[in-house]
Amino acid sequence: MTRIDMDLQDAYRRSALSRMSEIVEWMQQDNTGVPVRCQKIFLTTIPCAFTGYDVVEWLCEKLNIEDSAEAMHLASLLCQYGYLFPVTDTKSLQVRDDGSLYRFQTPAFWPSYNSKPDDVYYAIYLTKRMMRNKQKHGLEDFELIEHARLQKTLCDKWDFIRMQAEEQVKLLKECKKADKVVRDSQERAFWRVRKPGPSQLNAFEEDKKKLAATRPKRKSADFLQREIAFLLKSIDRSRAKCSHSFESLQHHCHQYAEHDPFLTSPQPSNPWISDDSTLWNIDDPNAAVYTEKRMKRWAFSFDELLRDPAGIQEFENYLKKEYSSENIRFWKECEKLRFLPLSKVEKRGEEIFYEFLAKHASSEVNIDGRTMENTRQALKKADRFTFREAQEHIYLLMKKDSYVRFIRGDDYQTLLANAVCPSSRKKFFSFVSTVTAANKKQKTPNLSPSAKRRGSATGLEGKAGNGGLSQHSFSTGNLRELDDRSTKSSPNGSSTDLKDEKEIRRKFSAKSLKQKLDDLVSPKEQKLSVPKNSRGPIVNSNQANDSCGVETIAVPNVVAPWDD
Amino acid sequence: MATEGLRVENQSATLDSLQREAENLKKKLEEEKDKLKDIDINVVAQRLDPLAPISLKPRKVLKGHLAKVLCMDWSNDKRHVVSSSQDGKLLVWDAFSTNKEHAFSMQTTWVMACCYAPSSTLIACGGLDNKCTIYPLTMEEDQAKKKVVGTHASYLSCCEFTHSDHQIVTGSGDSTLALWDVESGTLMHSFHGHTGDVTSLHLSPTECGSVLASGSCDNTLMIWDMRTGQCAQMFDSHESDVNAVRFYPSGDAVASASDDATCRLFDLRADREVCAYKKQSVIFGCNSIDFSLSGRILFAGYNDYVVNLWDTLKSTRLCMLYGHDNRVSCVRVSPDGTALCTSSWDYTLRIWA
Repeated sequence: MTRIDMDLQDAYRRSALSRMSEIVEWMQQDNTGVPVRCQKIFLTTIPCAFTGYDVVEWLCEKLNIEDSAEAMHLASLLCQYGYLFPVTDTKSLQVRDDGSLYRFQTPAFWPSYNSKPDDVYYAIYLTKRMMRNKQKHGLEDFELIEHARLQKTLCDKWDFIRMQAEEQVKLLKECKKADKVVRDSQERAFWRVRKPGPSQLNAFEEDKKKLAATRPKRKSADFLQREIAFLLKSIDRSRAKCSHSFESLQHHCHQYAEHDPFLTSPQPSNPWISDDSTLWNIDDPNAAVYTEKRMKRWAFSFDELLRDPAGIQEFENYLKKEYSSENIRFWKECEKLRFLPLSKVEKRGEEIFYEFLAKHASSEVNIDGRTMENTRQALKKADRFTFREAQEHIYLLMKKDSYVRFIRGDDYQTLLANAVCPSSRKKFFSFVSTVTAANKKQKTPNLSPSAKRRGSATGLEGKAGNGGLSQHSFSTGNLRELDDRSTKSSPNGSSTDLKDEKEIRRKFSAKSLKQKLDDLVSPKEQKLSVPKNSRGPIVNSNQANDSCGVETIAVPNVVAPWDD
Repeated sequence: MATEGLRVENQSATLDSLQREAENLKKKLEEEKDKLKDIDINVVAQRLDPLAPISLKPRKVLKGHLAKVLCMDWSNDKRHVVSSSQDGKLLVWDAFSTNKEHAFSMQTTWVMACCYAPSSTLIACGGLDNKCTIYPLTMEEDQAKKKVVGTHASYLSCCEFTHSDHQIVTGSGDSTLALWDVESGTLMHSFHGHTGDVTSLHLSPTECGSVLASGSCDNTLMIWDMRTGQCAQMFDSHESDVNAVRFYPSGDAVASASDDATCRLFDLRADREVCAYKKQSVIFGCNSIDFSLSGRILFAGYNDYVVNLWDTLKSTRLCMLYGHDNRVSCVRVSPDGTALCTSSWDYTLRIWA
């Protein structure tokens, strides 16, 4: 056997056809298979048939299928691939879960043994039918056309074809009636699925991709050597424990579950279900007002913040107050550089260097000497990755320092408090969309907080009685989770963790309760104080620092690891 | 003559010994990986809460193709879709209103790959013409503005833009992948290592532009470092063609779909297969997969016309979507995770939510 034959056999063994053959062989076993018998309908006897009930029941039982719809679907596929066929129904190839009758195809006609049916056999079959009783065996229009076409293309073989057909018809007449009926129906069923009419489904259509596919060749020495080198490298690779990696997969699912529209229906509504596109207007990347859900994601991780353009913008606003916005700007430029057209990379690379890294640069970022030296070296032949090391350095700096402060700081909390929380109420949306339109120019979204706050509060109360409070404590819970994950390598929820969390939650909810009360008592004051926050950077940075102090007290064992 | 014969013999001897060495190393690698298998994931997953029953309904049906739909992609605006078909047509839909907004005719049939650029102003496509062609989506249907970015030695099976409109990655039947500069059509990197046709590719959602996954007819799935063009990791537990690869949303794992009627999940840090999605009654090959936003649901489109929803963590099947009348060629979750779009050989696309 040649290699190609072996490959083909191998490919067959793994294909759906082989799996279908296996199932049908199983179905035909004497004791455990589908019961096949002569079925009686009124006065006619139909030999070698089984009912739709039987096959569906058998599939459900043997293949552990819970839903009969799935069994029906699978049976219909077996039908479409020609392993079984309906005895009386000439129109549809669907198997129904009722008393309709089906028959097994003889293995000689299985697609497993007939990858491509020969035109000569088809011509013989059509000629045979033309020789027989018109009413019972007459050809359909498309078959007549086929017959005429074959007569033309196979004209040199036509005598042979006609003789074969005559011979076969003669032989058939000598058979017993039951055999004749069965054999006739099997042959007809075979051609029915292999040469379907123009509007019918052809299950055997091949995927061009698969036809064109070149099977793997025998490996060359060169290739094997590379493979060995690769394997050697792989063996030394450091790996995580299974438990650890699975936990982190789980963590991701858990964290994003409420953001996944397939798991938690989005507020106000899923546009595809309600035909109302409000959700997209609210979640628009350029929207002037952020939803609470969107903002909560910023606290998941630094990367999540950086994935949202609005997140970057707010973070930059915050850094401006800390006088370190050049860091995020540098990171942004490096990120852009990586995806620039090749022709612009070199020039832009230089510009970035002079803006952020050169001595006395207008917005110099702070990187250590070695990184600086490496970057200088890389700059000699500037490409997209010239600043990789420096970018990484700044990224870590922001992640470990400014990001943590940003998320814990007042700015983020104020934004979060002012974020809209859409409910399914109609009234609320019209408000949001007008704000979006009106606020196009305003970059800071906390300019009209009182109205929004009221909105969000009503929204929450509309949803659940204790709305506001639970929301606040929940977001801090998230924060806590984040810290846990990054400070400890294995987040095995120990009792101390739980205790800590409870304590913090208590403190925070107390704080938010106070905030809440303040809001209720003096909404005007709040309205005044927030814009002041955003406009007076100096005052604000002080405030931010203050609040930072408060936060570190509240979360005693968390800050230390960031510092080292 | 004699020396010639000797050389051939020598060569095959070295080949055999190399082959043996590779086999031994593979075994050793497996042992090494097994050392870190400290839990049985199926047992751990049993303890997780099951998901609430999910019922998805077809919300839109996009009719207009006159041949098998082979590929589709969402626009970042969350409502537009591009689809390509066997007759060489490329359609851009507003899926929300089900209107067709643009139509392009390719010179070739079997347009097997199409994708939207991040800015939603360009689309790229290719197929049996071996080329990756880019069309701008302008109001005047000016086909003269199309541009050929790259050419492979065999058919184009998949393509995807990186983070920007300026770079595109393509995979091909010539068993390579390539990263192209769109503006100049320069080949920036090519990725060699597969021994069969590359069928699919996906860029890491978290390390976009630096990590790339690809699947191939050589039954393997490879993870590439895009900076160096080197293969970083390889997984070969499938028994037949790998038809689709997709990163888990956290970027820490990759799922694959294969003709062997299974889908699998490989964790990149544990460097091994962690889950397999299979069932006795699922016997047809899987063509395309995608994750829901959280990663908990894996959508998989099969050759038996059905879309199966798998619970990613528990490896159980959640439900089946019936509706297509022929093979499902492509499944994609919309960028905000609100809907699933499926394309099929029955000439239609469907949106489920």
